[in-house]
Amino acid sequence: MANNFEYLRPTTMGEAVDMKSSHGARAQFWAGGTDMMLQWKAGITDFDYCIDLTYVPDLDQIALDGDQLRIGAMATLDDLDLQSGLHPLTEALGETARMMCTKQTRTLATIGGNLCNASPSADLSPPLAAMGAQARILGPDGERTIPLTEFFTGVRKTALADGEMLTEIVVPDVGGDVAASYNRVARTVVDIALVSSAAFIKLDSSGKITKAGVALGAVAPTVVRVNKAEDLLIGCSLKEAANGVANKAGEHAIATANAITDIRASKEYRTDMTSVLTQRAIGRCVAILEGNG
Amino acid sequence: MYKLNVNGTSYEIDITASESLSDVLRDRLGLLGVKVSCGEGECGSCTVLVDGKPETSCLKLGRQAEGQEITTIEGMGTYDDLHPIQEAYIEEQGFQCGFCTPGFIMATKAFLDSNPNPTEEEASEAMSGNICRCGAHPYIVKSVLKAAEKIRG
Ligand SMILES: Cc1cc2nc3c(=O)[nH]c(=O)nc-3n(C[C@H](O)[C@H](O)[C@H](O)COP(=O)(O)OP(=O)(O)OC[C@H]3O[C@@H](n4cnc5c(N)ncnc54)[C@H](O)[C@@H]3O)c2cc1C
Repeated sequence: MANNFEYLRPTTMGEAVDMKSSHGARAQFWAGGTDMMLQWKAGITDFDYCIDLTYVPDLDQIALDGDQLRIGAMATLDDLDLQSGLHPLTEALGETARMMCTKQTRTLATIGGNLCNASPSADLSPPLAAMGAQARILGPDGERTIPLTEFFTGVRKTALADGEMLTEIVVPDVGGDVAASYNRVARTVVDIALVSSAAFIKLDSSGKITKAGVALGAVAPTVVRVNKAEDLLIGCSLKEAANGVANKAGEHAIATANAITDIRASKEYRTDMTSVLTQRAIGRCVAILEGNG
Repeated sequence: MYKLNVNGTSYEIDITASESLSDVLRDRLGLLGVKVSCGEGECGSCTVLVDGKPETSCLKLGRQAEGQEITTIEGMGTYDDLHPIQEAYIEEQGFQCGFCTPGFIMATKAFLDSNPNPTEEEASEAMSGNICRCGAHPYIVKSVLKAAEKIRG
């Protein structure tokens, strides 16, 4: 076990950021602690200051704000599950949350922690990336917003500079007919994803796809979007998407994946499954939008 | 000193920065019904209720629980006056060695508070965050359904 640390308790976002700025890399935020506790005990992470975000108010809201879906960094996976009914996209995120952890760890684990931990197999990254989510970041020099795909820079690496924290995830343009679906294969329900894929579809009033997102998890150091699959889907009807286009999108997923072989699965298996899971995700979006979800 | 509310009593205790809530409950307050098995959030043995929600107390810092309402198995019933969930586990033989039982009972309490009339499938799903090494799961699901019946009256 690593050395003991000093416990800091900010009660505003500004204070949290000040503490992080003044201690730099020697300080780590502590949200639900479901990754932190294990990493600290195993000596994988070592820090002198623990900045507990539990007592910072207003970071745990999940709400629709105009045509934006806003999810606070400290909202828990359990909150996502309980808020499923808010919107078709929270429905998909709630379903994702229920695949993750166990009930009694979902009540601790936060959305911000899942993203900031930046594991290639984190389950929330693909659906949020497919939806075109943005990360709102607060630092000593103020606020900035970046696409979630740019938030991840490598295995366990994010674009957060010293002194910065993630405050919120914003999914823009969620009005109208939208649907999303996330699919993964894992050895057991408490195991991490071996490979995963998410799809997002938005229709215009004539029933054509105007926006599409396809994102893969656990096949590269960060979540990757399959731009060619997205381009294929745009302009299609739901029927076309389901018949043939989903299949081609799956082939693009295979071409985009850069999977590795490890103790859990082979590169070949992971690569093949990206196509299967992408087709399933697109098929599910189509079914939801046709009213058969 | 940190203020903790546990089973309806307020305590002022010294808690070190890295001390887990499960360690605080066991070592400082002597609440040995809080069992720690895997210590990694997977087995559910250390489940307690925090503001009515089930949480694995091994992954939470003791200091993070300040101001929250904590319930452990010791706050559920007594030998002479068992909680209906405890009665149901005894009647349906929802355990063998009993080590995992406090965690299961706390998870059951949280579940039935939110879903008083569950199906067998819902009960089984709700108990999936706890592991019984003796393999009493089918009896545990029966215990949950029996407890629901008792509480509904
Ligand atoms: C039993 C178990 C099962 C699990 N199953 C899954 C699973 O199926 N799928 C999955 O994806 N994950 C799973 N996990 C991993 C874990 O639960 C998630 O990654 C969790 O969402 C992390 O959130 P947290 O609040 O606990 O983060 P913490 O552990 O508190 O923090 C994680 C990291 O994020 C940083 N951080 C946290 N919040 C912020 C912020 N606002 N700004 C900047 N940095 C921040 C911390 O400094 C730390 O580096 C599992 C974990 C356990 C214990």
